[in-house]
Amino acid sequence: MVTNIDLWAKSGSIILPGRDPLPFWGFSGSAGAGAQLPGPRYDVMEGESLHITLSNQLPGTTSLVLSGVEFTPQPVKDGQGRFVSYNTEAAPGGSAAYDIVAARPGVFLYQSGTAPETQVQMGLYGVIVVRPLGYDPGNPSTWSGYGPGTGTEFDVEKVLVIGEVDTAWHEEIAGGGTPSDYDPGYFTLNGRSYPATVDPDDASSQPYGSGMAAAPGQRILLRIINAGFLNHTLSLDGVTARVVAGDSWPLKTSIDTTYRKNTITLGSGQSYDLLFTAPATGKYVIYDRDLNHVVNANQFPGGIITILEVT
Amino acid sequence: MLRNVDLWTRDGFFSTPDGSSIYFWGLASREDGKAQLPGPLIVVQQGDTVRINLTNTLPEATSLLFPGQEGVTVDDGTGPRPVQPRFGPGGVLTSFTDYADYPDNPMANPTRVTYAFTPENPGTYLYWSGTNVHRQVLMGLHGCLIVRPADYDESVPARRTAYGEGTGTEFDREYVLVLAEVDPELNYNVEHGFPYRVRDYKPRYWTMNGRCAVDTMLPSGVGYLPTQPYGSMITAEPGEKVLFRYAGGGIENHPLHPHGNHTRIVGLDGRLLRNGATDLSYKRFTVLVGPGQTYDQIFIWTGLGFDPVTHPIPTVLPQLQNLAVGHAGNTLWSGSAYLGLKGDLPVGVADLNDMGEYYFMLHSHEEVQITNWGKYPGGLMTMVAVFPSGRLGERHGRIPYTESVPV
Ligand SMILES: [Cu+2]
Repeated sequence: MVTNIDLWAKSGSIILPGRDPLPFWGFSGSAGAGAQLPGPRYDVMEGESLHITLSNQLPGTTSLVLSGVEFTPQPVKDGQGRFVSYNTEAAPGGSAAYDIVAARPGVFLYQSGTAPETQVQMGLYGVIVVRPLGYDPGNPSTWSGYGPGTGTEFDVEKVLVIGEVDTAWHEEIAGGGTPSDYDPGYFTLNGRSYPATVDPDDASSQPYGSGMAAAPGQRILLRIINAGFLNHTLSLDGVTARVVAGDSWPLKTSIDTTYRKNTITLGSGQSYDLLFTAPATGKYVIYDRDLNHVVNANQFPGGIITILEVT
Repeated sequence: MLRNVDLWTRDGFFSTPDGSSIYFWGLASREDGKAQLPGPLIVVQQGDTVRINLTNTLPEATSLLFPGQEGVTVDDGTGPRPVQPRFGPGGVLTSFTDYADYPDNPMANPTRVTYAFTPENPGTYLYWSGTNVHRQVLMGLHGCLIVRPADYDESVPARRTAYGEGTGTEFDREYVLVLAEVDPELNYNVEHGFPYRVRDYKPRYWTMNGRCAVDTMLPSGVGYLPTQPYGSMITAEPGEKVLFRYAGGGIENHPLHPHGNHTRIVGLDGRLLRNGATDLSYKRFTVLVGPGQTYDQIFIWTGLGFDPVTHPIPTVLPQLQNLAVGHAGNTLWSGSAYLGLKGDLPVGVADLNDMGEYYFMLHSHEEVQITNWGKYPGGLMTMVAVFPSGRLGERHGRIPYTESVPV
């Protein structure tokens, strides 16, 4: 069975706290929908074959790569032999298709493979969640990150995609220019900066909230992936979690190599799955311990902060 | 057991080896004491009732977070309740946790609060401010908390451990290294009430236990560093187990290593690396110390081919210049290849070696972090000194049993 995923790369605008709408490039999941940050989240099953069609509505070429998913990229060189893209490109107004197999469960980034230093910063990234065999969205007793024996059963799941936004880059690139030194002033969870992170999911160009709700004793699987260019360190206040997977490789297989942390650093492209039991009722702050990332354009509080509410 | 720890926030100045005197915010362990960088080392025991009484004298509200502790409560005079983040108008966070207000606040909220918790897990922890974190933690409001295991007994080697008897974490000596960075521009602007931009943050100094090299190698409590009481010189005898407790108090990564040696990581963030019978400890040369995280390690120096009877020497001959500190012309090298013996040094070289002990560097390999405002040597650098067996004495590297350590 082959599942078709249709993606469009488009330009649009995002709202960051305290400033005018900012141009960005993002993925959308239908011809009529606007671009979004991060791109549409897809849930697929382990072993599923994916036929991804990327339609390009941007002014320049673009392409798609998936991190952590085995595929054979088709690097592209320009007329002078210079390497310009990790994978087959879609020309402006055209499209390209990619066939991959979602071979193992986990959380994986998909992103632009063309001039990624600018296109990923512009917003061309998203997440595919691959479910383990036996996972049934309608049956909570089957919910786990990585299947039986991996110790990743959960009651509540949250995906947090970390990013950064350099507003000067966005304006320069959208205007057809060349960006200057990278110096992001905004830091994002699921494409939003605090306080917007705790707002619910909506139909905007930044549709995914990062707030969490659970009842005491529920098992929470926090799936963090860094789509930014900088290191980020998430600190869970009042909670020590068990690290159950790194880069979507479960740490409990024939031996249990899971370990506990309250604060964890993610480099670019890295992911960790953290499992913990919701503590007593109350609010718990989850924030970037790189403390210059909890601001919006220098103003505290902002950036990478979200809240778990246990009721 | 009930452990009361009294802390006062206070401002002050700390010194760097290149002659700067930098304004900072720190914690004092006595009402008439000086602020210190990092905050006082707090030592408690698993299962204790720990009460941290925080009194604020700064010009803005402040608080403390205790990452790795669960069920922390706060009492501002109305009785204990679970700590909670505080929100202001519009529901926006004002503090990550309940705070002690500033003295001149016309709202007259309490300037003294008591945090309480019962540590369930032994290990090394950090504490840091939970209010205006982008400023206060960087200004110096952070420190280290050690939780002794419930069965800790300093006089019984099998129970002088980081994580309890039978956990493979016995130690003969222990050292805490709290790492942080300082951008003097930020401190200057806070001192004078000037605005500053977080994104302009550019550290010029890197601190190990609040000091920049070469001050790191001075003893604890030297009188001319009154706000930086903790030294970082590591001393041991051959074959001893030395517990290193690295703690990232700042906001940068710091890759630390002891030259020519390795450590075994036994715990992270105050949690033993063990699942049931499965030992998850592992060896590393370089340990990347991330912000807000702790790394407990066991270090043993045996030397190349060292044998106390047949071969009582390290066989590595250092280059003289590798052991020069401060200005060239001082050396820590003994002048001899033999541990415990001193040899001739070239004329004009000042001898800093005591009894033929063997020194090697422990530092951040991100070399910009071993400078003071661009000049080497400085920053995150100290020495490990191996003393001849039986010559070092019991009290080196023994942090007092279970109490907060006064300045
Ligand atoms: Cu080195």
